Amino acid sequence: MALDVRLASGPLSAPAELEAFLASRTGDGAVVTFTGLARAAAKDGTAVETLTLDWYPGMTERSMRDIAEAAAARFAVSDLVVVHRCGDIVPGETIVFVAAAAAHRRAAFAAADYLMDRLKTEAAFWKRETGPSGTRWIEPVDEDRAALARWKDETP
Amino acid sequence: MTRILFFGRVGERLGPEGSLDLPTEGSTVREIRRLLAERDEVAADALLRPDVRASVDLVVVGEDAVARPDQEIAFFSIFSGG
Repeated sequence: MALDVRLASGPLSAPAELEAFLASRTGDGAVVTFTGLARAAAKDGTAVETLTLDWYPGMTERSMRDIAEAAAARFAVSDLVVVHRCGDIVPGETIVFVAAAAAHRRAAFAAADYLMDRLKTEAAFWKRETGPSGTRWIEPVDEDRAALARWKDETP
Repeated sequence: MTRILFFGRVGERLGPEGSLDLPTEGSTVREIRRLLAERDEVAADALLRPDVRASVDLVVVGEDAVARPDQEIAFFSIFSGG
């Protein structure tokens, strides 16, 4: 089992991450990936010019690793990658990339889904959107919390 | 002086860090929060909120946790998630 968990302050290339993850992989039957992109519009439709993810060096990486370790313990996966941007991100850029490799596809799908639900609510980031009308802080919405709650009732 | 780090909305209001004289045996998070908040109205408004949490050496802790001067202490608003 390899857990590759990284914080990236510069551009994140999902194709390059996937290519590296697939290389020399002969024991697994499935790789599922998720790529999260910065949107050009906020939830209320107003324009977003920059998304800023503040982080706490050390704590943020630890929160990401804790989530990856929980996913690894919960699902029959062989390897996981979690790469998350920090700092200023413009619309269209990749914010997050996760990949899960497994012998069979269901575990890989579930692990990627679980990783994203937890990263979206529990990772140690502070997110701000800046647009023509100024800057505002973003907090997890009910939809994110409901997504996370789906995993509470299931046995590991 | 011990450096106190601020993140999220707290960092926006108070800047990335402040400092405080802590006794060698340490102080509780509650006491550190009170001492920082006593300085001015901006600090009080930024820190005296139930959703502003603290960490000691990168671990999120409660108000009764004790932090010593050689430890890394931070206050921050609720995580937004990624």
